[in-house]
Amino acid sequence: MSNPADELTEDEVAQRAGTTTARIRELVGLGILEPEHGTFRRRDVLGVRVVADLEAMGIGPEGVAEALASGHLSLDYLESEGRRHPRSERSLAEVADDLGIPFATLERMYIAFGLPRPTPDERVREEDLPVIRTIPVLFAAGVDEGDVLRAARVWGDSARRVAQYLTHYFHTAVEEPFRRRGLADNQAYEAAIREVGLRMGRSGEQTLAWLFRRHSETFMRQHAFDHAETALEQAGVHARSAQHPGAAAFADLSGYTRLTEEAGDEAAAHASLTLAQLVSEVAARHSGEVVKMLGDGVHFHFNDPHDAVMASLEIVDAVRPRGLPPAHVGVEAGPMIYDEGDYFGRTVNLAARIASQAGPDQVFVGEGLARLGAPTGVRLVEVGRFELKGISQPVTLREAIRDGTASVPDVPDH
Amino acid sequence: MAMVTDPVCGMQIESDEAADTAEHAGTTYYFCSQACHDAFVAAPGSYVA
Repeated sequence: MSNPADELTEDEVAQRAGTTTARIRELVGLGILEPEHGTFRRRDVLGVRVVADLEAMGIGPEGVAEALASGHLSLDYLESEGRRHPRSERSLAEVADDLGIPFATLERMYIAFGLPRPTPDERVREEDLPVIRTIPVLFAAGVDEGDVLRAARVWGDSARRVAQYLTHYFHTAVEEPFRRRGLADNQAYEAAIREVGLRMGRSGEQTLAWLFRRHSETFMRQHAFDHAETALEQAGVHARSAQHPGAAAFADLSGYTRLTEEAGDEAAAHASLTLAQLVSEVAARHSGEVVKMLGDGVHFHFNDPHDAVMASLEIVDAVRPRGLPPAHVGVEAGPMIYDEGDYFGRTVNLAARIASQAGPDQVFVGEGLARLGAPTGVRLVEVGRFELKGISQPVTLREAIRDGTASVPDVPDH
Repeated sequence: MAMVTDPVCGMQIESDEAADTAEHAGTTYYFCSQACHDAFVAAPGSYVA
């Protein structure tokens, strides 16, 4: 199955790797490259680049040669890091010029995506071009740069989180069984790539695209029907139902700091993961959305404030059976600003402050929610007026209690 | 330089950047890594018809 085009001369390796023949000879002398009868292989090009990258990290070729000779290091799994990505013949500045946008705008886009700051004269990656070409379409439609950058930040943050986590996951979850079998660190990595990584193929990209499509279906459908409802209202054939404000809820685990101190970081991390799984399940059951995890807590958003109360009560009930410390929750309803995947405003701030007033197993709600009344099967029992940090006026808080359940008379200290 | 697709992992690469190649049924295949190459050589029928 060998291909004559795979056999490279010393000069060809140097030229493809972007170095000198003297350097190639040096690496041969050190035993890092092992040509057969003066002939090199394609992978040697990648190996030369990896050795250069290691040198840039302060690891000289002598050290690499020694680790290779002793069997502690293999270049096999590092070679793909030496591959260069296909680049167009055009520089980024030229592409910007072609599209009629300033290079500085493109630069800000890359930064908003969370990618390295580009230079004007670098040749643009082929894979970047389709994305870059969409930018003028948005500008031509009247979208201003701030809004384009905002969308880029959401894309960048979301994709970076997935990529960063999956790398961590590969190391801690996929490689670990191979390490437990007694393989050395780099052997376990190679085995994990061979046995799992290769078999998974491009499933990471496919999963990301699939989930984006599935989530988009939900949001775009809702968006389309909102427009339809507006049109019908304007036509006078339909009256839009009264809109409730949304609700923000913050759920925290009581004693999480103590848990970390007493049981250690791993136990605390496990508790955090268990909480994340639990809140995702609860949010899904009550048409809510997990806005963000906060280590020992979670910020939810609900379109229906009553869903927020029911979900909060369910969380309080569910944490202990999962082996978690008790939870306390704060809920408030009112106007919020949505931007870049998060919710902001006084309602959100209030919900967070209210959560810190609730004791273990308690769900406290604010005045905005109380005005809407309690969900069926729940009572809102006043627990007093509270000074909340950063809120100018004292706020009357109520505890949400399922019917048939006794209220907790005293509010514990924090 | 031609763009080619690694039949194992599906990655698009420039042919000169391939870590290795393999001939199968009269076609040359290009691989992004030795691991992809070795997987293909062990069972080419799993990746191409």
